[in-house]
Amino acid sequence: MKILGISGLEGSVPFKQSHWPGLDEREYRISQGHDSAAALIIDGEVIAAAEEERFNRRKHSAEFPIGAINYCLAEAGITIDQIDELAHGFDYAPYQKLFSLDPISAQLYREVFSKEALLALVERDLPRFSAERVHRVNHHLAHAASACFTSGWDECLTVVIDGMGEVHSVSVYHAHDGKLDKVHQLSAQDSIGILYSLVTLHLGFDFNADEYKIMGLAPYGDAERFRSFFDEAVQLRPDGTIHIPMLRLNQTRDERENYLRTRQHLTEHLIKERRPEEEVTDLHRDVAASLQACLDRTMEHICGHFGRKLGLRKLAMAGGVALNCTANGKLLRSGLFDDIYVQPAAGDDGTAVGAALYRASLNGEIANRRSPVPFYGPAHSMAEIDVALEQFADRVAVTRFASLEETCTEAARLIAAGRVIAWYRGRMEFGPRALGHRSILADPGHPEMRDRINAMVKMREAFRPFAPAVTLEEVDRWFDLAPQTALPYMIMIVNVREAHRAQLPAITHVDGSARVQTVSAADNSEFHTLLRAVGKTTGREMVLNTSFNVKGQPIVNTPQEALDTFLSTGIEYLFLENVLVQRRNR
Amino acid sequence: MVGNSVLHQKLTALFASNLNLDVPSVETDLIGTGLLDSLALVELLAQLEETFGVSISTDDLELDNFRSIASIAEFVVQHEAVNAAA
Repeated sequence: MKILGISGLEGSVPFKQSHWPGLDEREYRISQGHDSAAALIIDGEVIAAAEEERFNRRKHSAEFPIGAINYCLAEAGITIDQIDELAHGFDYAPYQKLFSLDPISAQLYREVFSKEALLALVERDLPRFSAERVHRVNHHLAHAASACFTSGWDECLTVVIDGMGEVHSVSVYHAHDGKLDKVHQLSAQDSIGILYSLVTLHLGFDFNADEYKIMGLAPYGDAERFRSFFDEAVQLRPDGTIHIPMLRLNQTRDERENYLRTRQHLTEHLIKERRPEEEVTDLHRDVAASLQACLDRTMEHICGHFGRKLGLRKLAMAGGVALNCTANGKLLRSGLFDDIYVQPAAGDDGTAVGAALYRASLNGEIANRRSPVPFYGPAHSMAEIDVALEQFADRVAVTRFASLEETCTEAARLIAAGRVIAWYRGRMEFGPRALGHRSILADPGHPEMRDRINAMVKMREAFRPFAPAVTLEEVDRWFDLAPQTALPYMIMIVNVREAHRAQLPAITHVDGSARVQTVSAADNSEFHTLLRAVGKTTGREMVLNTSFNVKGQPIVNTPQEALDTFLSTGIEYLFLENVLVQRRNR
Repeated sequence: MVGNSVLHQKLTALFASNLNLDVPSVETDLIGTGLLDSLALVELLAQLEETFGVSISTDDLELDNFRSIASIAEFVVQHEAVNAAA
């Protein structure tokens, strides 16, 4: 079967804008269905997947993913007529009556959540596609399928944790024999994800977007300072569930829509709200630390309880909260599980893959092999790169290398010399991380590198460290891990070995941790070749690896975007496949 | 529903402790007053299942059964009777 999976709810933010005009821009992100994406699954195998933002260039775009769909079809060389099913990673139908309790919710259901609303978008963008081929999959079931069906495990505990699906915030499944048995679900009224996002908003950052910044801020703070507040806020119950009374403070439609009473509670009982332009102080750092510690405890509580109860020692996770690399790392080190797999596109983009995989599983089509490094996006041929280079010919000079090896030798020489390079090759990554195909790279040993990259391209908060990519062969040399520990998706935080922390200032966090990506010849071979070459020039098979984009924009997709971004920033060298691009001297 | 007074008290307490909702009277219209929204109703269904063993699917629920504490009590009693007979 050929199944297209999609995510996102196009009408969600516009609906909120029309019913709640005049809100702060950040508050419109308190809504459902961001991060539209499309994925193509043929006979149970992922063929292609990409976020819509990479095509329409609007970060976190929720629009119907027609750009991503067209890419998926082109990648497979098929047309929409050959698609057997379209599967959407939300299914509100069982909850229709719940959304008829008040007129605005009923209208929201009708205009945004209903199957009819989805069919109207299909009719608009895929007019030849018949309605009977459109299916919907429960949001958490789609997340769960994305994790367990790409885990490579016959049996595991599967936990989905996010802000909320249709009405739930946590779903626990026992995955076995190609099926997902639901074990327990928590209401969105007890959503640790929503609480984390509300505190993110309260600290002056973006709801449903900037949670990773709070995670990055946390190690600078004192987690004990507000421990009692969060212990009271998030009650861990003996049955493995949690209870968050402050999310139940909202009693009118307005209060519930924007969590007004909860936010007032934070102001009155935690700290006053920080505006985005205000300075980040110790107070904010301590709240971030206390919140992160609360999340760490909560994840261990929920996953640990159900792992013990079912006697399962392997854990697969997805959902936006599973993007929290600190909590994942704590869980990994807790000893509660022998192994943990976090599906690399754990956010809502991943439900495009999951919805399609779930539908495929109903036909027994799942092979269930461990997800490769998710290079599921578009690649651009040398001919396309040459066209782009021609367009920028008056601004750039190019040097062509005969092979990958020669290219890597030159790139490694530049990295060792303290240069910052952009590295663009092969198929684009699916998910939020650049894993070596759309990356900015540098030597992690230069003390001023973090500030330099921030100043020249990323313009991001100074408190956030960059992440390292290291060969699988050297992972245990630099990091507190067993030899050959594979962490290929950059989704776990581990400790840098104490002896090396001082010499790796650009990637070591203040608490000695790092968000490591391991790179092997088997699953990321060209990037591995580069790291090997870097080993010869710097003595470390390791680079600082950050995504190739500027603040507020999606990661680059096409060679034109790569050149544009390169020229609009201070990045010193750009490698487009085996072509080195430099600015022309004017 | 005098005979249900114990159940009424139990449900009123459940609303207060688990849903953070202080319901003024057992006849209060929970839907008309907006006390019960979709997420609170999901939570209520979960609580009813846990506390009284009544399993209710969200897609075939009758909203009128949840309009007041009195009607919820009646619904629970009916379900318990059906379960006992089965």
